[in-house]
Amino acid sequence: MMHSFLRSPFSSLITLLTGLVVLLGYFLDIEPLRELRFRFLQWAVLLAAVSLMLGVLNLLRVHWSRLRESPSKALYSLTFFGGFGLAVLMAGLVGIQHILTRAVVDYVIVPIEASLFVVILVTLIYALTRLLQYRFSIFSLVFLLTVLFSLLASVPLWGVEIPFLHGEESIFAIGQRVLGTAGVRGLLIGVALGSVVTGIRVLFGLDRPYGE
Amino acid sequence: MNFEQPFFDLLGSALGLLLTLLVFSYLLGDHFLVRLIFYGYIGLMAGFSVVIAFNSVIYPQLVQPLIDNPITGWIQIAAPLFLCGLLLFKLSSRFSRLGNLSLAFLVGVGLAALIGGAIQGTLMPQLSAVISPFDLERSAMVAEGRLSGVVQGFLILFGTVTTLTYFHFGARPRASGLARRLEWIETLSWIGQIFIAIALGLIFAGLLKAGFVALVERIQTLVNFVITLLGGF
Amino acid sequence: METQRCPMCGRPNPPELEVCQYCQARLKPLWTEPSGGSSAAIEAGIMKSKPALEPEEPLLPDWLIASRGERTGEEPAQPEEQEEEAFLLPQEEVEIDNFLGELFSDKLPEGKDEDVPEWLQALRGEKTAEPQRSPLSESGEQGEPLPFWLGLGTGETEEAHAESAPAEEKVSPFTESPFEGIDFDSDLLFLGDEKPAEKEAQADFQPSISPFEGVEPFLLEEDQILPESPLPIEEKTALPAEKPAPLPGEGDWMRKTPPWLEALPGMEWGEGETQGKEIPPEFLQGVVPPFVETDEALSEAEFPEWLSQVESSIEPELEAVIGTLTPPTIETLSEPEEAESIPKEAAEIVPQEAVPIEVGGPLHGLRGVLPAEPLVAEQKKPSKALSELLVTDKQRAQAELFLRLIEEEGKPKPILASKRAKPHTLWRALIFVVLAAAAIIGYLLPPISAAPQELSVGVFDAMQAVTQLPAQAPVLLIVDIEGRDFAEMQATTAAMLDQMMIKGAFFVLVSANQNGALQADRLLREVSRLNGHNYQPSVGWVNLGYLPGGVAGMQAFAQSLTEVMPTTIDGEAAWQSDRLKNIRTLADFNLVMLITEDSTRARQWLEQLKGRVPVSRLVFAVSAQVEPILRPYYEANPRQVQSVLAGIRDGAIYETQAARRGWAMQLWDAYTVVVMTGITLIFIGSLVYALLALLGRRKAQAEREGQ
Repeated sequence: MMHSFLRSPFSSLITLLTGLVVLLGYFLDIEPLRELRFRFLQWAVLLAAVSLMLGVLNLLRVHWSRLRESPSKALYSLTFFGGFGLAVLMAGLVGIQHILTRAVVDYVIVPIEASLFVVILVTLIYALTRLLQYRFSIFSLVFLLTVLFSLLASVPLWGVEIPFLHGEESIFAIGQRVLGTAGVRGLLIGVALGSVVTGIRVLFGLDRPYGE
Repeated sequence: MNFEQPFFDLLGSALGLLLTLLVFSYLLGDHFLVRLIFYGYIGLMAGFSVVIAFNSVIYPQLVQPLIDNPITGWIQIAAPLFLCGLLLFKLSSRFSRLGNLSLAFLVGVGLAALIGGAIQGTLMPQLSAVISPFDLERSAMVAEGRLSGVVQGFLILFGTVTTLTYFHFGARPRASGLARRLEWIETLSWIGQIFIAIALGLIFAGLLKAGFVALVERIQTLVNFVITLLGGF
Repeated sequence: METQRCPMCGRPNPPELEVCQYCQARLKPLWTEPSGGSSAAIEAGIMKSKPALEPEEPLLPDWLIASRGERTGEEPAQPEEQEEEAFLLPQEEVEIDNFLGELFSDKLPEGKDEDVPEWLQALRGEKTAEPQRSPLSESGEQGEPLPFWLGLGTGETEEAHAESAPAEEKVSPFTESPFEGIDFDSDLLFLGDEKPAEKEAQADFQPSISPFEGVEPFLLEEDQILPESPLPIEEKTALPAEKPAPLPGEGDWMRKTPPWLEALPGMEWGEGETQGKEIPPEFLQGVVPPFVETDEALSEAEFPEWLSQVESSIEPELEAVIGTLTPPTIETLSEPEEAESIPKEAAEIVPQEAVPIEVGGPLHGLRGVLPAEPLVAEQKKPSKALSELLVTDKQRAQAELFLRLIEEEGKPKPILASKRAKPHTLWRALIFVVLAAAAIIGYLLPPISAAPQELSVGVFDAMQAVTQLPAQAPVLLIVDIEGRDFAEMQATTAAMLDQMMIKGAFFVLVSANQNGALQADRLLREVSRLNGHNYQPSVGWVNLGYLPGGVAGMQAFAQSLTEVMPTTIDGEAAWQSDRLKNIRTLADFNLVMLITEDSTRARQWLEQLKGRVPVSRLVFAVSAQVEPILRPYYEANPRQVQSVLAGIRDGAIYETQAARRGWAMQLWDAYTVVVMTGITLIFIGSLVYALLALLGRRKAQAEREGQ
């Protein structure tokens, strides 16, 4: 989608102008600029909501076509339509804070999501145990030891807090503060630099995200 | 409990228990019931998203102004309505290009906010944080903590620099034809990987901790349901 | 470029090659002509064009010219010969070469008179053979002996007239030059009435044409065989006694084919076709090694001495072998009475009618030549059947299999679900069972560990922020959580929210994701229920709902929240209540608390809220996985966030410090057991797999070293 519109120079001009207006508002506090900037941001919020609606509409269209073309998968699409209809009826008619809506959230959405997270947890633990088998290197070893020590430091071991492991001034805590902060800080700076460079390139049309 | 009638709560809990067990069965492999549950969940969330987005944004910004004042309301919503209208053409394959203007607007605003926030919120403060431990006057550390503070600051600075060096991908072609980074960059990059491994290990450990809490909560819900059932009988 | 043509396949080859590069036939003979002369037979095989000797004379082959010279006693005028490359042959080949050269040369070798067989001598002209008389020659103008293919019975000796079995065919060796006595000037060469004397030049006569070209083969009949034809008589050579052929009348010899010529290939063999015994022509006698069929012929043929020596050495052994044979075997091996006298080493005698005559190639006209096939293929068109592909059943089956393999390659194959559980499925199920058991044990059994007591910096700062909160202060709760992390976030924030509820804070809920809008309500409900507060929607809090747009929405909300989110999630006016009518910007809130489990969203909110909210009023309650990401912001100087509550541990510490048992403490005991179980599982599993990997590497290394 971005590929097609970015190819047009008019679209690139719109992107550049609106981007400059919003970007300058971070550094310049000028009343007209502030008002225009807010309008742009507000329209962006509205467009994002409409985009969400369009995405859901497209999803409905896909399932509708699948319902007609693929009888074997019709039950899944029917289940989708059932859930969608139920949510729209409940939230639209009775409201989000109605007891029925809350019951759906409490007894359907949260159990499904939480249980799925447990499945992911088990898979992560299994993958971690096999880490050294697939890649035996010093980095894997450091990664594994960090995970183990962080877990050890999070709970007292059978009610006993080990001095060098537990506490704010423990060796692990200091190491976590220093070494962990150093690594994360480097990652954050790197991510910020990358975001800035990529954003400027796209704004000025120097880079096409879904290039030709 | 949501319902005043405990029976409905029990029914709801039973439904939650059933869904929990069915999703746990996904560990043994994918099957028909699990897929059915996932499709239902997606439908529910899609429905809620539509209602919430409409109630929170679309209605107040597009419909409400017209209701409040039909004349000035049109003026107020003309531009966003025009942009939203153009965006609707994205559903059509033939007129899809008409929606490019709205997308261009959205991308421009979003990128600018991203750039501004990154510079203002992360880049400047974090760079300042890297050198701040060496500013003994500005730091509020006590005298006996200054040395340790400086040492820690040096370690943090070293770790930050080596971590950033790892992401330096500029290489020069050598006589052998292979492109490799300079030796000292390679060394710093190797050290930076150690810091990255530590940082990612801490994040992964936090993820495991969150998962353990979810597991405990689910198991407790199941046990409570069983206890409630047994207590009821 | 000068090339030489292969005599077999006719393709051009470089001049330096000795063997044809296509059919591997020899391009150059193994022997070279002796210096000073060349035999007519050799010259006949050499593919070279020579100019006519005399302008008046036709272009004649060399052998013919040489034969003339012998007859006339003159040295044949040797046309200019192309220089041939001299072959350097090995000694044994040189000897053979010399032998063959002597065989075909016109001159007798010196000092070898006693070793030269009579037939060879006759061929060379040592023994003057009686002139071959032919009817034509007698009546001929020149009175010269007639050529063999013209002579009716010429060139036959008395031995040739010897009676022999009709079924047996005897070929006598050459006794003289094959073309001795041939009068090429005579009209015998012509089939027509025109006499050759009147026609001196034969323009169309080509030297490369076989001497028998255009001549109908004929056989020598018995009565046509002259008795005085000189034949070299060897001891073991048996020449058939043939009747002298009747002399035809003048002019009739051309129309009457001799019997031996009729036996040439191309003629239909039939009974009675051959009249009597067929005697090979005189010119063949003595040239070709004796084709003995009977003992008499064998005894009359002249063999080299070395062969006789060999015979004498093996004869006793042969007799011993014959003595051991059984009578039936002897009978089988024995031949008729006439053949009893034939020596054991007698060659197989083939009837002359059964021996085909060569019709092509350099041995045209010769009888008894070993067939050249398959070395030299017959010149004939390939059959139609060869144009069709001959496929056997096995080949057809293999081709079909190959085609099927190619077709199936493009078709997607369904992945068969294995009925047997895979190892990783079992291991995951085992891990889950162990962890679930630990959770049940931790929940049911009494607590084995106390709550954490040490106050962390983050908890302390959070408590400070809540302490500084005035009563019924508006608090903005940005709840960006999903349902899967609700339990942890509830455990992390429950105590702090409880503290704020105790102070009567009014919450404003907003979320940057759709699910958060649903979970925000649930969070406050649960906290209110667990701690006995009576917080209700619209009374205790308002839910602004979902804030779309990502960072753009966050920035818009941070700039003017009342315009961006004017209504609640239920469509009611949000900012017109008494509790919120003074709220215009984010700074108007007493506390802004971000509750999230997403590190990206936490970072983005932090970036967008910078400068909009005083740092002292900004508190983050995040999941344990987000804490490392936020720590640099928290530990920056100056700080970017007042406090960070991370995970159930900080929630438990907060509850402990606040002395209010909340949701975190309900989960804490089971949580510690599960964490320790998880540590054990990870440690043991990593150790086992690491050892397996090390063992595997050592094994692979040993195998590599062993190779």
